[in-house]
Amino acid sequence: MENLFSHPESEPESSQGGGNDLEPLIVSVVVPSNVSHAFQGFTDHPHLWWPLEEESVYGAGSHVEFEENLILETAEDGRTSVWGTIDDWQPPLSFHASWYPAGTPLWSTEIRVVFSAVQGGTEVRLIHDGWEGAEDPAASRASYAEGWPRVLQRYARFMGGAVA
Amino acid sequence: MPRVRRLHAGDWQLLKNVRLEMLTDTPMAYVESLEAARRQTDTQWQERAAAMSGDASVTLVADGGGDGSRLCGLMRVVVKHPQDPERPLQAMLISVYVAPEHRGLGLADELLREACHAAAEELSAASLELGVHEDNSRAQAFYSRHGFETTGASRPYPQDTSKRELVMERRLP
Repeated sequence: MENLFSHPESEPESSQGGGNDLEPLIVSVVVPSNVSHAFQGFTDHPHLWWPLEEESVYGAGSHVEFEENLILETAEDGRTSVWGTIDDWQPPLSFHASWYPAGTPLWSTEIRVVFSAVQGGTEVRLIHDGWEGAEDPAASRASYAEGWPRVLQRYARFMGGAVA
Repeated sequence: MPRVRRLHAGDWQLLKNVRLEMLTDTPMAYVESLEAARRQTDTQWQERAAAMSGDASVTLVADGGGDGSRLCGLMRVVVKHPQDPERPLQAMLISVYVAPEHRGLGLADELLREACHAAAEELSAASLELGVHEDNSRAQAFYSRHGFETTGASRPYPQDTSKRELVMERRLP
């Protein structure tokens, strides 16, 4: 796999659809854990649940971790890919990072992940914003609109949550 | 002077120990908490060491303790990927650690020289970037001695957003 969250061919309507609809992308899941455990599950062990075979640069067999202030993927052969740079770390409630989409090194987007107590556990809400700088903002947003639910559903399953 | 070498997959126990030491020494430098690192299983440490020791990786360690029973230094070079093919490749220096008893004795210099060399020769990077806390003047002076300059860029320090992390960069030969 070459690109992180790049699924242009599977979302053919995305390039024209909506046109200027570049509002923040918001995706959430509820997991049956308290806030602290939900945050730990997300940030301690991303390599245990992240669908690397689908949503990564180097594919299955690579390793993803929070290292220093980076979200870093390392391939089996040692090549690395920095997915994001964390600039606000508020355990166990939230973190914020610049996020570098695939193939677009000249701009970055922003993600914030927020963990809040709700009935039945913790809602994990991911807000992804900053599409304007992309070559094709709508297509970038659309590929993430497809990818993030897959990622969060995998996380919810890891945390023992039912996935709709 | 401790020997500087590459990390091997079989070094996972040494990696675990030095990592816990780093997180204890400067918890502010890492988003990973000491508790989180302690929760990692042996299998996870083995995976981590394997990932950090692939042929295309640059993870430098320094053997310490006389018999190599511990690591007393660590530096890792990674690349941001993908990058604009029109621009020179940029690498990043992370996971910098030198055990307290080895500070000021040249080990950090040797690790950094080797990191710069490997970044240029093995990763074909044209520059090496790093982040340093705005109040850490000692580290800034160290990097300046090795040709790094502040780029003017900075970002909030994740664990204390009232502080900034300054970006320093050096061109590689």
